[in-house]
Amino acid sequence: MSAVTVRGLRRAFGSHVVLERLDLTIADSEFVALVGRSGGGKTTLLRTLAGLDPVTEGSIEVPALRSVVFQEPRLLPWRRVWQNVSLGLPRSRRRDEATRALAEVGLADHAQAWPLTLSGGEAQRVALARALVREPELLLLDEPFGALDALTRIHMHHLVRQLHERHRPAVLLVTHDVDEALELADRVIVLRDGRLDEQVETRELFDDRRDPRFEQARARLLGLLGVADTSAADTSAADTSAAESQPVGGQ
Amino acid sequence: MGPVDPKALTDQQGIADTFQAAGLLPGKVDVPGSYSTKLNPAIEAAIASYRAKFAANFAAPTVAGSPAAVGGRRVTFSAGGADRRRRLRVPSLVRRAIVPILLIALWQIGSSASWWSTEVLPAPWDVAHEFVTLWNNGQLPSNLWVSVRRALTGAAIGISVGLALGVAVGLWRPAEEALDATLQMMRTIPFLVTLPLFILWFGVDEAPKILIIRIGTALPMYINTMSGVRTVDPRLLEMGRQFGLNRLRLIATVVLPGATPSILTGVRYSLGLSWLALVVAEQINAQKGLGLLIYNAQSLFQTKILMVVVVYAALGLLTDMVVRLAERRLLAWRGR
Repeated sequence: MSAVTVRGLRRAFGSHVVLERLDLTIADSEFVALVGRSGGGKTTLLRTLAGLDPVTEGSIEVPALRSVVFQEPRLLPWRRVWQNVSLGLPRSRRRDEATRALAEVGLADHAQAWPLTLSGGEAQRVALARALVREPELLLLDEPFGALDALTRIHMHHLVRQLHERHRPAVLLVTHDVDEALELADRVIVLRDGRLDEQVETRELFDDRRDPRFEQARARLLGLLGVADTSAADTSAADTSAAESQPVGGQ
Repeated sequence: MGPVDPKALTDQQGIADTFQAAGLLPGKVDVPGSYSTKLNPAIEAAIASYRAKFAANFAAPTVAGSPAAVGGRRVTFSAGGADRRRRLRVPSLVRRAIVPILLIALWQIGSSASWWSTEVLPAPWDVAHEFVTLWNNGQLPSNLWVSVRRALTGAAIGISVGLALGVAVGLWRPAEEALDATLQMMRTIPFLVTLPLFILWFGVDEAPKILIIRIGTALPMYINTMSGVRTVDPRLLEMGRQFGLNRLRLIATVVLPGATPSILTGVRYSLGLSWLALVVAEQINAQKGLGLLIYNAQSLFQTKILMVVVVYAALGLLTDMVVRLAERRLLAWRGR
C-alpha cells in the first residue's frame, strides 16, 4: 500500500517549468525528505500534495486525511493555543484532543496562552500538534524548522522522530538542509530541474553517524545539490577561489 | 559551501591579524582557507592600513595609560531607577482631567466677574442647575431617551449594513466590482446635505431621521471593515482552508477576528457620527428628543440650554468609553 502516488505531474508558471513529468511513490508510514535548491519546485510539489495548488497535468493520489506544517507557524493570534490546535475538529472532541496533542509536544501548560506570547520554537510545536491532532495519514512538512535557531532545531528533530514513531503517518519533509534530511528520513530524494534526480536510502544508517556510509550519503547528496562536501573540500575550494581572485585584485 | 568571496577571506585574516597585533588574541591565528602568501600588493596594502588603524584604536590607550579614552560613556540600568519614577506619578485619570477642570473653573470665574453677560454665556453653575431642573421635571429623561434610541437604532442598522458590505466587498470580487465605486462616491458626499431631500421623500417623521443616521454610520463602517478584511494575512486563510474550514467558518474564525482592529475603528467613527447626524436630524420638526429642547430654548433665547451640549458631549464620551472597553476585551490577544 502506498500513501502517495504521483504520476507524470507537470507544473509550469508561464514558460518556467517547475515540475517536469514527476513520478513519486511514498509508502505508508514512510518518512521521505525532499531536498533541492530553492526555487527548485520542492514547495510546489508539497503544496500540490496538500491540495493548495491545482494539478494541471498528470495525476496524484493522496489520503483524504492530511495536514501541513508550514514554514511559519501560522497560528491564529486571536485564539488561545488549545483553540488553535483544535481548529476544525468536531466540537465534542476539541478540548480533550487538543490537550492531549499539546502534552505530546510538551506544551500542556501553555494551552491557555495567546500565540503571540510563545517563542518561535514553541509556536512551531503548537503547529505540529495542530497537524497531528487529526491523526493524518500524510503529514506534509514545508521547511518547518528553517526559521528556528540551531538548538531549537535539534529539539524539534527529536520531537518529530518521536511523534513519527508513535503516529506512523507517511511524511514528506521539504528541506534544503541535507543533515536534517539524513537525520530524519528513511529516504532522501533530490529534486533537480523539476525531476526527481536521485534518491538515497538512509533508513539503515539512521542511528550511527560514524558509519562511513553516512558520510558517503551526505557527500553524494551535497554533490547532487551542486555543493562540494564542505569538511573535506574546504581548503581546495578556498585555493581555487584564491587563484581566481588574482586577476580581480590586480586591476 | 558556495564560492568563496576572496574579499571576505582577506578581511577575516586581516581582522584576525589585527586583533592579534593589538594583543587581543594570543599568538598567530590562521583563518581556514586563507591565502596570505599569494596576496597581491593592493590587498596587502589594504591589510596594512587595516592593521595600522585597528592597532591604533586598541593599542594607543594602553600606551598613553588612559583607559578612559577607549571606555566611552557608561549607562546604568537598575530596578530602583524605574521605581523612583513611578512613585512621582499622578494617576492617569487625574492628569487627563486637569485641563477640562481648569477650563470650567475659568468659565465660572469669568461669569462671576462679569467678563461677559450671562445672557450670552451662562455660568457653569446655572447650566448645572438647569440640568437638575429639567432632569427632575422629567423633560430631560424622556427626551434624552428618545434621542438615544434614535441614534442607537440608526447606528445598529448602519453598522450592520456597513459591516456586511465591507466583508462582502473585501472578500468577493464581484461584490467589489458592483459596489465599491458607488460606495466610495457616496462617501465623498457630506451626507448631512441630503437631509432636506429625505424630508421631501419621506416626510418629517422618524423615517428620514433614522435613515440619515443609518447612512452616516454605514459608510465609515464599510470603509474600515473592507480595509481590515483586505489586510488579513492570506497565509492564515490558506491554513484555515487546509485544516478544513468552510467559507462561513473561515469568515468567522479568520477574517472577522483578523479585521477586528479596523472594524472597531469603524465602530468608533460610526457612533461618533451617529450623534452628529442625530443633532442635525432633530433640528427639523422633532416632536421629542434633545433637538426639541434646543429648538424650544432657541425660540425663547434661553442660553441655559447649553446644558444639552454638555449632554451631547457626555454621550459621545460614553460611547467612546464603551468602544474602548470592547477593544480591550476583543483585542486582549495582542498582549500588553
